[in-house]
Amino acid sequence: MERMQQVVGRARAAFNSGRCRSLEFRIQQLKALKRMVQEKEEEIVAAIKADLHKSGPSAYSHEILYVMQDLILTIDKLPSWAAPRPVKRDLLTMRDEAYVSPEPLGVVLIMGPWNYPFLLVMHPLIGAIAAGNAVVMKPSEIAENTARVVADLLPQYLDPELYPVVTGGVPETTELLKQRFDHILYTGNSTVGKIVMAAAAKHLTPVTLELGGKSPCYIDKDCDLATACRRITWGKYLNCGQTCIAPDYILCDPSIQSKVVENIKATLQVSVEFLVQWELEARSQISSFHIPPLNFPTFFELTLHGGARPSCQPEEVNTMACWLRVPHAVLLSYTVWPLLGLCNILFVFFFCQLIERVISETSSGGVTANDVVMHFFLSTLPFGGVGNSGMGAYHGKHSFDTFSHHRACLIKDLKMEFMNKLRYPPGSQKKVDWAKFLLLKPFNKRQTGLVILALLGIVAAVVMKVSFG
Amino acid sequence: NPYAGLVSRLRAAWLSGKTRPLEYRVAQLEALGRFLDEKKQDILEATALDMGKPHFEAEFSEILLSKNELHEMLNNVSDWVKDEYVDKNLVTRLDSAFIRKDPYGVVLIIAPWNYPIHLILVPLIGAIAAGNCVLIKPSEATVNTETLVAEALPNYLDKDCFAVVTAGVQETTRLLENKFDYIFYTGTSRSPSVGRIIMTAAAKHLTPVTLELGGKNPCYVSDTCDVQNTARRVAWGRFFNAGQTCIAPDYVLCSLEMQEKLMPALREAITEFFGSNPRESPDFGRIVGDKQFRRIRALLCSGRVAIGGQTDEKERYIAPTVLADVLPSDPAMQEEIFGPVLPIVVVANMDEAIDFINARPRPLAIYAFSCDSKVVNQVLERTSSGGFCGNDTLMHVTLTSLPFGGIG
Repeated sequence: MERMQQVVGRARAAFNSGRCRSLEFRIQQLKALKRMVQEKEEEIVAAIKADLHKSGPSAYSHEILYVMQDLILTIDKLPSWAAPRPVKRDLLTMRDEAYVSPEPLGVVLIMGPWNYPFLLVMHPLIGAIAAGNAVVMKPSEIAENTARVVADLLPQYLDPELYPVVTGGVPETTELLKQRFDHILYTGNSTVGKIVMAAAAKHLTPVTLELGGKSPCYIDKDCDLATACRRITWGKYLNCGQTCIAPDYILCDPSIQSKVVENIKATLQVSVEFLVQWELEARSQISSFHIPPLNFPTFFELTLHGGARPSCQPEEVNTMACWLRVPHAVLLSYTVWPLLGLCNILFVFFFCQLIERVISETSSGGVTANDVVMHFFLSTLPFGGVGNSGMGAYHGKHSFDTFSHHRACLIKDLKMEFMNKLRYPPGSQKKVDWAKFLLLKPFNKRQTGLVILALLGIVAAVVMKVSFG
Repeated sequence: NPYAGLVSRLRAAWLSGKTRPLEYRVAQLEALGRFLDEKKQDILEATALDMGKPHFEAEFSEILLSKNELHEMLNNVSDWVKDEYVDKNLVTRLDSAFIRKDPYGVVLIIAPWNYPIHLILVPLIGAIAAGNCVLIKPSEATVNTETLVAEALPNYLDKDCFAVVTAGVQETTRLLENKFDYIFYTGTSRSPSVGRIIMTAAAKHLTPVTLELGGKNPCYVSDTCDVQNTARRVAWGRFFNAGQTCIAPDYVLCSLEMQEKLMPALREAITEFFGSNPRESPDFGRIVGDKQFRRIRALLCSGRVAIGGQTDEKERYIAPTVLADVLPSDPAMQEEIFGPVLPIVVVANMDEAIDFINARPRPLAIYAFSCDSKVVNQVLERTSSGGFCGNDTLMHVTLTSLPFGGIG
C-alpha cells in the first residue's frame, strides 16, 4: 500500500520545509480550523447523528463545544506556551543562558475512536498543530459518516500536505502503522493499544495511549444520595454509555443498595423522551466486535420503554440492568454498554466524606469526587490513563507539551576559560575539592538567598583565576 | 520465569504502601548518600579495574554528579510531591482541582557500563523520590562495578522495596517478560537496537518507558571562534572516559581553514591534558572490552590520522586521536564512535553544516562553537536534537534543572 507511504512521505517533506515552524502559520491554521467548525457545524452534527444517532443538542454539547473551547484557549495561549522556558542555574552556569525550548516533534499520527468520533480526533489535532507538527489523522472507520466529513472538510480549510486525513479499516491502519512517525496518539482499547505500541517500538516512536478501563464509582453511606445518583446516571448513560470515563460500576454498602437503585430509576424516569432517545441510540450501528458476551446473572433489572431481557443479541440491548455488587470478573474488554460490569481503572468517582483516603490509596488515570466525568472538561488537568488504561496525557497546555520536544539548551560563551580549568586534566585533589564546592549544595539555597550565592560565585571565580589562571 | 518471584515480592511491597510516606523516601535517599560516601573508594577502584577509569574522572562523573542530583532532590522533594493546583474555569470555580503525583509502582532500571554508578543512581534517585519500588539491573560488561552494586547497595536500601539483579543478555530477556510499571533504560543506539527490544517487550504490558540512547553528536565550529578555547573544550568532551560518553561530540564540522587552525590547537590541548604520552597519563581511560576496542580500531582507517592513532590491544588503549578530511562515507561516520577518536568533516559553511546535520538521524546532543551568538542560535533553531550546548561540550547535563533526554 504505497498510498500510506506517499501520504506520510509528503507530510514529512512538508514538515521539513519548515513552514509549520512559525507561530503565525500555526495560529493561522488553528483559526482556519475554528472557521471550519463554525461554518460546517450542521454537516458535522449530521454526520455524528448518522453514526451514533445523537440528537443535535447532544452532538453539539458532547463534541463541538469542547473543540471550540480548546481552539479558543490554544490560539490565545500559544505564544506563551511556545516561548523558551528559562531554568534555574547553579554556580557553574551562573553566567550562561539555560532554558528549555519546546520544539515540534515532526510527523504525528492521531488515531481516533468511534465513540466521540469528532471530538477525539480534533482535540489532539489542535495540540499537535499548535506544537508545530505535521499531522496524519486516521478517524475511526466505524463512525464512517464522521470519518468521511473529516476527510472532506479538513483539506478545504487546512494545509492538505501537512495535515492529511487517511480513511480505511484494519488493513489500511496496519499499513499506516508500518510508517515512521515521531509521535502516535491512539484512543481506543487496550488490545489495539498494545499493537500500536509494538508497531511504534520498531521506530522508537513515543506514544500516548488513551485506553479504557472499568472506572469504579464508590458511594459512601453518608452522602446526598439523590444528588449522587443523578450525577452518576447522567455520566453513565451519556452517549448511551459509550464513554471511556463513564462510571462503569458502583461500589457501595449493602444497606444503601436499594436506595441507590430507586434514585437511579427516578432520575431515568424523569424524562421519557430522553429514554426514547436512548432506546434509539442503543440500536445504533456499532460493529459486533465491540459487543462483549453478556452471560452473567443480574441483581436488578429496570425494564424500560419497549425493553426486553438482556441477551447476547446486540439489537436487544435496550434494557438497562444494574449491578450493585460484582461477584466475579466477567468482562475482559471494557464495557461500553449501559450495563454495569468489572476490572482496570481509568477513572475513579466517588461520593463520600472519605475522599482523601480513596485518592491516596488507589491509582487511576484521574479522579472526580462528588461528581462524574467532569474532570475531563477542565483543560488545565492532564487527561490520561495509567497501567492498562494508558500512558501519557493531553488537553489544553498538556496537549502542547505532549506533542513538543522539550529541548535542553545551555549557551555559554567562549571566554572565562579559567573557570574550566578545574575540570580539565591533569587531575588533582585541589581541583576535586573545588568541583565539590561548586557543584554540591552544602546548604539549602532558600536559606542562603541568591545574592549571597552570587557573591560566593564571584569570590570563587576570582580565587580560581588566581589559583589556575 | 526465574524473576517472577522477585517481581511479585516487589509488587507486594508496593501494594503495601510502604514507599508512600515522604519520610520513608527521604530516609532511602539519605542512605544513597551514605553509599556514595562510604563506598567511594570501592567505586573508584572498581571502575578503574573495569575500564581504566581515571580516579579524577570517576570522582567527578560517578560521585560528584550523583551527589549533586541527590542534594537537588533532597532539597526539593517535599515541594515536588505536593499536589499541584491548577487554574479553574467557570463551571469548576467552587471546586478543588489539582494534579496528584502518584508513583507508578514497580520500576525497572537497566544501566549501561560507561558511567556505571551515575547512570544507576540518577534514575534511582528520581524513582525513589516518586515513591516507587525499584529493581536495578547493572551492566554485566563492568563486572567489578556490577558486583559492588549487587553486594553493597542492597545493604543501604530497604530490601523489601529495592533489589539488584545481575543478568546477561539471555537473563535480561527473561526479566523483560515480567510486567513492570515503568522501565528506564540507558544504553546503546548502535545495532542491535536494544531500545527497540525493550520498548517491544514493554508494549506487551503497556508499560511506559524512558529510553536514553545515543547518536552521532555533531559539533559545528564556525570560522569566528577562539580556537584554543574551543579546541580545549571539544577535546575535553571527546576524550573524557576515553570517548565512551553518550553525549560526547562525535565529529566536528568546520571549514577547511578552521580544520587547519584546529589541528595544532587540539594537539596542544591533548598535550596539556595528558602529557606527551597519554598512555602514561593517570587521567586517560581505556576501552571497556575487547569487542569494543576492535570495533573502534576498525574506524581509524577513515580520512587521515592527524593526531594520535596508536593502539595497544592488551591494554585496550587507543590514543586520543583526531582524523582529518573524513568523508561522510567513511567508516567513522557510519555509527556512533563511542571512543577517543574525533573525525573532522569539512563543510563549506554553516548552512552546509546544518543541512548535513538535518540529513541524519536526530542526535542526543548538538554543539556549536562561535563568538557570534547569531551563529550559535541559527544552528540551534534550524536543527533538532535531545539537547544543545553552545560554546562548550557535555556541560548541559551538569545542570539538574535541565531535562536530559533524546528524540527520535
